[in-house]
Amino acid sequence: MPRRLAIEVKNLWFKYPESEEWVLKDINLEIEEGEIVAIMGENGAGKTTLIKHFNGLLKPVKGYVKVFGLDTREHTVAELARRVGLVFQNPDHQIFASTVLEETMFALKNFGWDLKKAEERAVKILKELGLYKYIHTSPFMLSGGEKKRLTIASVLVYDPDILVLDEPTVGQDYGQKRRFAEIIYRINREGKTVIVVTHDVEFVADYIDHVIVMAKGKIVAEGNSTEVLCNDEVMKEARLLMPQLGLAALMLRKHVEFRGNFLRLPIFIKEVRRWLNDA
Amino acid sequence: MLRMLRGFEYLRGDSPIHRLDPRVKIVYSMTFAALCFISLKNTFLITLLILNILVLIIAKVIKRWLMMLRGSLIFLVMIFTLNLLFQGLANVWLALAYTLRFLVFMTAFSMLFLTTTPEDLSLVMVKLGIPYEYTLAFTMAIRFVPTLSRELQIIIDAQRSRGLELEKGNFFERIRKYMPILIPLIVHEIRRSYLLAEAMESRGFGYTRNRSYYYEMRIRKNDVLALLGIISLTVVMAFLGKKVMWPF
Ligand SMILES: Nc1ncnc2c1ncn2[C@@H]1O[C@H](COP(=O)(O)OP(=O)(O)OP(=O)(O)O)[C@@H](O)[C@H]1O
Ligand SMILES: [Mg+2]
Repeated sequence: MPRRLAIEVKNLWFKYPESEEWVLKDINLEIEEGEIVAIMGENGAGKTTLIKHFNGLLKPVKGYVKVFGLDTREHTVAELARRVGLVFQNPDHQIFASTVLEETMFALKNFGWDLKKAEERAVKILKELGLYKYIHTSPFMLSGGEKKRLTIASVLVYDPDILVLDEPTVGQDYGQKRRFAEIIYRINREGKTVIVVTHDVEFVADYIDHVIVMAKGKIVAEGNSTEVLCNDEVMKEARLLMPQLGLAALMLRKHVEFRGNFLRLPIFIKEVRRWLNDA
Repeated sequence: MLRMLRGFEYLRGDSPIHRLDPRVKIVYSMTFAALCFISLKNTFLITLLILNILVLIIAKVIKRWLMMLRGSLIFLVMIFTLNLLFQGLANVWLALAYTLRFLVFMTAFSMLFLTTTPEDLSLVMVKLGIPYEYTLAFTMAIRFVPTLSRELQIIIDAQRSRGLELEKGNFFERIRKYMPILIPLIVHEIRRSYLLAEAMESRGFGYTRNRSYYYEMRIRKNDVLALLGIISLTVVMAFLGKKVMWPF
């Protein structure tokens, strides 16, 4: 049975009211339920603008966006937000409450949950994301990585079917990134669709299989991350740096008979072994 | 609201007006602002408005002004209705005139801010003997309007994504709903101002009172011509405003 479409974008054109230039030009996109997808591209490519269409913050000027078949033009942000959780790039743009618990419960209160249930749910999520010990602390006192996790918690708490993360790995150390990957995998195992906007090629290479690349308001490539991220032309157009292993393979290929593209170390090593044996 | 502020934000551009000496433009704004107070006849005020609009067209910033007009429409309507309430329904023309006066006043200054860089403005203020610290505060305040409005939009988007519905609820509920928006905004701005202060001090701000300035202003021929034009126009308009019986 084919899986349901979580997000369907058809001939989407968009420009901001105060400017003349099209920021999104004829975007077509289908994301299936239960997928993990990365959206990549240079600064100003239109990634954030695109994901703001997924919960109706922005409405298409031309074309349409559907979320589980719901046309975003016909539903309010509050309605769509229940299905699509959007986590913004900078935690400072949303943190306001006096305690971590309050901050996490904010969405639940907005959606009219019973207070006791809301608290139970928030506590559960905070435990899962390793923030339980800060439950009565001011969110402003948390470290950068913890704030970021808190913003994810404050969205995950209401159990959206689709989670969209804008630049979750910016300014995070290696350990934090691993942690994000674990969180992403875990919620994906629960059947949720996860969309990650990022510049971080190595992060995508390590953890995400399906990637969409944008440049200047258009989608310039889509597909398996090994193929897309190791494609020299696409990466140049999107002004992204190829992942280290992809680069290594590219260079090696100039000198020796080396097959395929590589993003992950074990497969790369296997290919090196094969070549050594042949030689 | 924020759209209204955009009408006072410098727009990079090139036109005879952009190239004028900032002091000449200040004289222009001041005299036109003063002219508004000469007469409360609608036809007179509309004449002033048209003159102002001509200047905006020459400066190629008329689009911005229209945007500001849209943004300030609520204010204009408010001024009009309040005046109507207090002056009585019989004084429709008067209420309209007060509204127009406000509009002309705004337009006169909007021309100045739209076509003059904040740096030029601050230079003039320094030349007028205002301490540099105040001048700087003023230019930075102008500078941050666009940043602030972007930031405000992001915060609103972030909270709406978590289900905040600003449109719903009675008056008091709505005010309470603005807290999740105002708190991040204020915290963010305070933090930014500390960062800015540190960055400026580490580059030697406040080291000496005798600052040197990169640009010096010079009055050119065009400036003199413009100034003469402004003065004669002002005299003519002041005379007409006082002596002629303007209808309405
Ligand atoms: N509120 C706005 N009003 C007008 N123009 C905007 C607004 N927000 C973004 N833009 C413009 O739209 C374009 C796309 O911006 P967007 O933020 O979607 O890019 P992005 O791919 O998310 O970039 P980044 O990697 O820097 O976050 C940019 O040229 C930007 O200047
Ligand atoms: Mg972005």
